[in-house]
Amino acid sequence: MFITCQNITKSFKKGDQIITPLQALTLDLEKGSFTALMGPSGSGKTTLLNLLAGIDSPSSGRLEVAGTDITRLSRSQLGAWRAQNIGYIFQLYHLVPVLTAYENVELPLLLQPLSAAERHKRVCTALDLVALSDRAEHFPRQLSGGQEQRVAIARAIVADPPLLVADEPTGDLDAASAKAILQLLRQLVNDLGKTIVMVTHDAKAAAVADRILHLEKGQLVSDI
Amino acid sequence: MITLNILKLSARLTWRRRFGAMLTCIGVASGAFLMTVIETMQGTLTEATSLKPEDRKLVVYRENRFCPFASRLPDAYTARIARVEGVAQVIPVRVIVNNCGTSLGVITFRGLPAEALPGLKLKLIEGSLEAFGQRGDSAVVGQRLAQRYGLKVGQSLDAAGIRVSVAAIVSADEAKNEDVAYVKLDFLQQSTRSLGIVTQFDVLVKEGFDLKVVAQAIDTELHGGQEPTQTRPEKVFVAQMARRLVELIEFTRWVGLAAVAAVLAIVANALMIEVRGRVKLNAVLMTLGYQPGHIRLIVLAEGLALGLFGGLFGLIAAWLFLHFGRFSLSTDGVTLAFQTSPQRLFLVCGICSLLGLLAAVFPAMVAARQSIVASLSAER
Ligand SMILES: Nc1ncnc2c1ncn2[C@@H]1O[C@H](COP(=O)(O)OP(=O)(O)OP(=O)(O)O)[C@@H](O)[C@H]1O
Ligand SMILES: [Mg+2]
Repeated sequence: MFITCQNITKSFKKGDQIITPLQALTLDLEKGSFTALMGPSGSGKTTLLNLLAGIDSPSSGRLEVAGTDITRLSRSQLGAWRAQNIGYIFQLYHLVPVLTAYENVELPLLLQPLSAAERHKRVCTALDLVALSDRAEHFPRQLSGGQEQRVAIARAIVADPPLLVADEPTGDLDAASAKAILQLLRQLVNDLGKTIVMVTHDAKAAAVADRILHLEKGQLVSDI
Repeated sequence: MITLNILKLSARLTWRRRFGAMLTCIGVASGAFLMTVIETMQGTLTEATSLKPEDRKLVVYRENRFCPFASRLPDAYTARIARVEGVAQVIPVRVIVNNCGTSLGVITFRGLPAEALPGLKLKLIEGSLEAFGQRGDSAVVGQRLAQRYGLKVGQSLDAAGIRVSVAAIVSADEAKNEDVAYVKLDFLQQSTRSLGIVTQFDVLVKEGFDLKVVAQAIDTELHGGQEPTQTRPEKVFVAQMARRLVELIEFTRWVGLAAVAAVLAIVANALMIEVRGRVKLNAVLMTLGYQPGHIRLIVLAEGLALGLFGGLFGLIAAWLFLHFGRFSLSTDGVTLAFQTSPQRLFLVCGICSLLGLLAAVFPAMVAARQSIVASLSAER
């Protein structure tokens, strides 16, 4: 199994109150699958995604992603692991505003021992894939929301990680741009064999996925 | 290689917000400027007053001298001093200053025999040294003095009741010797109605002789004369005379410390603001796989760059200020000419870089410690 969650619980302390957005959740995901994660606001979707991406750790339970038990890794080790295995796509793109599209896409590659020429080749390939080669020198503020999200996708895939997680990637986009993004994600699964977990509120968006999971109050309620 | 990539990224992020970075650099530059000027003042004082083994110069003064006006010795001592064992050369010198108090920009006339001029190793910049022997009132002017008063060859210089015409402008191996107008001894004696009287004797001691022993021998030789003398290495006199300057300059040490503190505070503050503003950026970088060490490196490199470039701006400004201002401070006829050296500039540059780095340590820790998830959902 590519992702194995066993009994994972995540709780936060807020003052003397304990919030538990994920409650003993068990879930397996196959390599090369496209999964949509749905559920009402506050049901723990983002929390689960953050655990899978290794930017947060579960309070208890076993979590294995891409063959690594990531609950055992230190902060630095987790960083190195993310650089190899994870592409994160945010709802609000989170491009670095002072860097051009090209420089944004290049960011993950700076952590790899590549020659400048090899880096250039990979950035160009990634930008090509999202059809934005002609916008390489533009800054995020000079791009539309859809284009920004495509740059963000290029940044997520440039280091060729096996797992992409996306938190409402089309939540801030108009219908046409959203459709293009969803097609792009589908293509990444079909053509490059990526595994994608995507949070969405939109049933139409979820329809491009192979599998739709419903979360409610930190628990899996349905699996289609 | 990865470290280099991250340093480049840090430089790029700093460059893209260069307006803010520039303001910080200006702050650092002001501190570096102060540090350089103060370092130069203190360094000049130390050099002028600490005796080195290769120093061979003695000065013979009248006892209890505190200003050149008060030291009156007869010309005739020249031959007697020359006979003392270990003395290589004696030059009788009449010194006239236009101000004996502590002040900036005093004019010093140094009267000496025409034949002693070549021994001073002055380098001609403008005019001719030959006129010095011929015309009585001709003066050879050091370049610092000349530039301070805008003197040109052929013009006349009028101070302390003495009027000379500028025959040449020269540079010297020591800055303080460029703050002087050299004139013929007999002319100066005539102008000040003190024929046969000199202020001091500059004595060069032969290699291998102890300065103290020769000084003692000179004082003993002249003991019976009508004017008792006191012979000391030149720098010891300078140290005595400059005591007031020492106090003044010691005080500037505190200003220097304040400048150091200011540089630290400016860089630390700028970086704290920067790090707060970059909470989201750092969270995104960490999501992409940047490790806490990488984030620390970015902030530290930025601090170093701010310190280094701010320091460079400041010391270039200070160098221009000192070089073209040609400042000198005089008291009791002793002049300190402030001239900075490459070593001092390097030192200030190093201090500023180090301060920048130091100031970045705390912001770097704060940046690397932030939680990714909390920062991603933060307002900014
Ligand atoms: N860092 C945190 N500290 C405290 N509570 C948190 C934290 N992160 C999430 N929570 C809480 O956990 C619960 C689940 O949050 P989560 O963001 O996973 O929901 P979500 O399903 O993504 O909702 P939405 O659809 O609105 O994005 C919420 O009640 C939230 O307040
Ligand atoms: Mg969410």
